[in-house]
Amino acid sequence: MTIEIALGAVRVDDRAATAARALAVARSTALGVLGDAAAAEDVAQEVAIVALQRSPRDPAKLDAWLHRVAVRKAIDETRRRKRRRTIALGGTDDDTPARRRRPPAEAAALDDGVVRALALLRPLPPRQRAALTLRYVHDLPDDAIARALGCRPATVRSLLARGRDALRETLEDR
Amino acid sequence: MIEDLLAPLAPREPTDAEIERLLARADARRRRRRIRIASGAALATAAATAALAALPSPEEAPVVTAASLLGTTAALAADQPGPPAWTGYRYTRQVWRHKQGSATIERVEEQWTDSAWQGRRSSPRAKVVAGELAPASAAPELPADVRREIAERPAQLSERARSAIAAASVPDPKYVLGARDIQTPRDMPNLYGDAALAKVPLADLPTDADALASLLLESHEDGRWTLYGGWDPVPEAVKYGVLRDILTLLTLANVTPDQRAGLITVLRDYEGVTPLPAVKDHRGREGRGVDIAGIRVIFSPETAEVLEWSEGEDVHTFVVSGHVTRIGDRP
Repeated sequence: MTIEIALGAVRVDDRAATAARALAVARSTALGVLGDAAAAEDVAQEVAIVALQRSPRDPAKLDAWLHRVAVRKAIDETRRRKRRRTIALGGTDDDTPARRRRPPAEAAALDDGVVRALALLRPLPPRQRAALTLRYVHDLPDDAIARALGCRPATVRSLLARGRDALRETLEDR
Repeated sequence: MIEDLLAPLAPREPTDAEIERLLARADARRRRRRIRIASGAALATAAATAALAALPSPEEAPVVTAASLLGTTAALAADQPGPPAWTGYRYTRQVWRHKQGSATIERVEEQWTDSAWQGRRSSPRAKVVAGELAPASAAPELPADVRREIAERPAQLSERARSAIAAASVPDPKYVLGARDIQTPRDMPNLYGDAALAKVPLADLPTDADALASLLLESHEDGRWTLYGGWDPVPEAVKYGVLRDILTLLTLANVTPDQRAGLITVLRDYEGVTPLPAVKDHRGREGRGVDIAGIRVIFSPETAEVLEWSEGEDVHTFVVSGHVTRIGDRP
């Protein structure tokens, strides 16, 4: 099975091609927003299954649909994770510090470059992470990012500018 | 510059195996939905079985996280046919195996519980299945100085005094093994006990997992549903207590399918929860489950009922679980 992923030429004439494209785009998008491979995989699987059931059949629209749904599901998941209290038996209510110290279980399986990219994005708010991922990973223009995030292009420009500033600060601190 | 740093996140082509697994999951989900729509409540169990049988085998299954395993189980629990909310009785037939000294004891117990923890618990005489139960006369006498310590400062006992008390606490085998038939409120206030959920109004338990987790933690902290008030739990024990009560609610309480789904989902919030995608209970039944800090919970892959939960040598195996309209009825 040969499926073009990195380029725009997507064959959606069979289910396998749609599945491959959906999984690849949703996984990459969700990973950028969530910063957690296991959670991103859950989101990607959900998005890809929905894509197989009711995504646009027009290849030109499929990617836009995938970006929009993956970003929104991933942002929803970050909110849910923030709301949810991690219940540590016999310990304190440590939701974040211990979890931040603990490397993700799947980190060992990730490529070093991916780990570094996620570490850069991790301090940013989810919408900035989403905007930067869609621009610099998926190469989308402002208006496409705006459609994915459900906001105006001006808001996207602002998100990108703040995100870039934050990344530069992080890099200068290193 | 930023492009270069983020480039490793670029989409990568899934493997053929990943694509096949995804297509299989999508097909299984579509089949389940069709079956659910087409069949009535009487066919629901058979339908779930058929749909699950079509799932890929464990060797082909994608990597399962605790969250996804519990999410799938919760969705299955929510899909189960349910009687009108909080009516009738939850029925369970449980085999409870535990250690008493060097003996392993097995008790088979039936329970009928209504939505206020009222009902009946009944079991024939328990069996010693391994080891030997010490006679009550085997308990050593407490040394004089320990007796004095207990009399003088019962709230601040030394380690030695605690050990001596533990060694002397040998229950009478007649009580440990005897047949039981408890009816509430005749014999005791309820079938639950006097801890945090003694007076829980089941109708107030939300189905949203986040809200449910918060409510259970808060109620264990402030004791709002305890029998007698004066609740002052050890802070470190609250989360463990909530976990044990989630298991009690899942196995014995007369909750709705949606509430069971919420309770299962809360388990994923426990730190260190480990998925067990394929595991067998002590009766050899296959299920899927999780380990949480030494507590193992195994769910039926067909009904999402708890097949078994265990903590060390304390094993609760649920042979039958269901709903009936009267005490004495069985599903």
